[in-house]
Amino acid sequence: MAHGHNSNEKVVYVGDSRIRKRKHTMIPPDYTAFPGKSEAFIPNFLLKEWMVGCVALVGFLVLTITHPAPLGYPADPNTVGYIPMPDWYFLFLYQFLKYPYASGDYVVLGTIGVPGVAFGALLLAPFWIRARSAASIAVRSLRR
Amino acid sequence: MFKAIYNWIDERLDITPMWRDVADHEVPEHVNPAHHFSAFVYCFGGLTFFITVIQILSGMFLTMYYVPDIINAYASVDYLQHKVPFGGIVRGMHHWGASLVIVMMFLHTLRVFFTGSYKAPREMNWVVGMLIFFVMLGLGFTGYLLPWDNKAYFATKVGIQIAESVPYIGPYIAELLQGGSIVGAQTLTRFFAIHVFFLPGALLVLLAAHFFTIRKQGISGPL
Repeated sequence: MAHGHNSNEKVVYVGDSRIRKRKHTMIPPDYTAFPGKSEAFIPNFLLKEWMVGCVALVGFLVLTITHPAPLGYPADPNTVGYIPMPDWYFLFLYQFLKYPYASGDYVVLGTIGVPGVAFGALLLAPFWIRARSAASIAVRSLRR
Repeated sequence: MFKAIYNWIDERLDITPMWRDVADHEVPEHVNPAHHFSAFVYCFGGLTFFITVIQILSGMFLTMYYVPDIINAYASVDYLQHKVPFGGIVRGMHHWGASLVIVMMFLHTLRVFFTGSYKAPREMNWVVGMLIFFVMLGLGFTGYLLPWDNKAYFATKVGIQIAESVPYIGPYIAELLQGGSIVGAQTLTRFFAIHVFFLPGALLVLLAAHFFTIRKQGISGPL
């Protein structure tokens, strides 16, 4: 490239257009600390990943062909006695809000209090779960 | 010829180092199912991304037919599902893919948790991953309304009531989502905008951060 004084380059940048040479290039980490059969990501491992992806895709397509996506009746706010049902991954909250101390006067506890603490704890898990630094798996990997 | 094109670009933009940073790395034995079958648990992150890509592509095709207004939304989904060639497949992939993303993401989270990969120095990547999880839940919530059938309508009503119960800011959140005091025409266009522009934008930024971090730090070591 256009760094230095090598005039063999076909394209030579001049003045301010010169791209600054990076002092710290990111060298991909090697795994010499883990003696084992490591493998090049491209193409060896990526092709295997794509094989897994193909299997997953076939399973996915079988699901979509055998089970068409549901479509109910058009939305009508005047429908009486319709029991609202969220998608399955919100059912835990739906059920939770039926419990006495998570509904009525305590609904704030049910909608914000408990889920907030639970998801907040999950979000900040790395900071409150004590890492035993000497034995910690991740730190050990850093010291390779 | 591709080599010539590549060289032509490389002379001008010096892309080889970028390519090396992205692609040229080794995969250690302990994450390779070819060597240890139990390492299949390391596939879940990649599969989550794969299904996310399917969601983006199928969603792009869905917007070719979908009309986000209360008169035509249901009819356009109905037409797409029953009249458009392969429309049922495309919508089916988007519908089931929404669940599969959650499942895969959950499995990926379990893998990261039980291998202790979230610990120092990888805390930030865990936090970014959890934010991706919340964005995905948001995408699920906003996408649920779009077919504008009874299930969608009443579930969204309940969801907005839940948001409204938040002290102080709840009514503002509800009005922001609803675009008024009822679930109606404004709600549908807002959910469409959030589902198609706002949350995917946030998702792409978070995914970029997620992948940048994993490439920078490398995958965590064996147990």
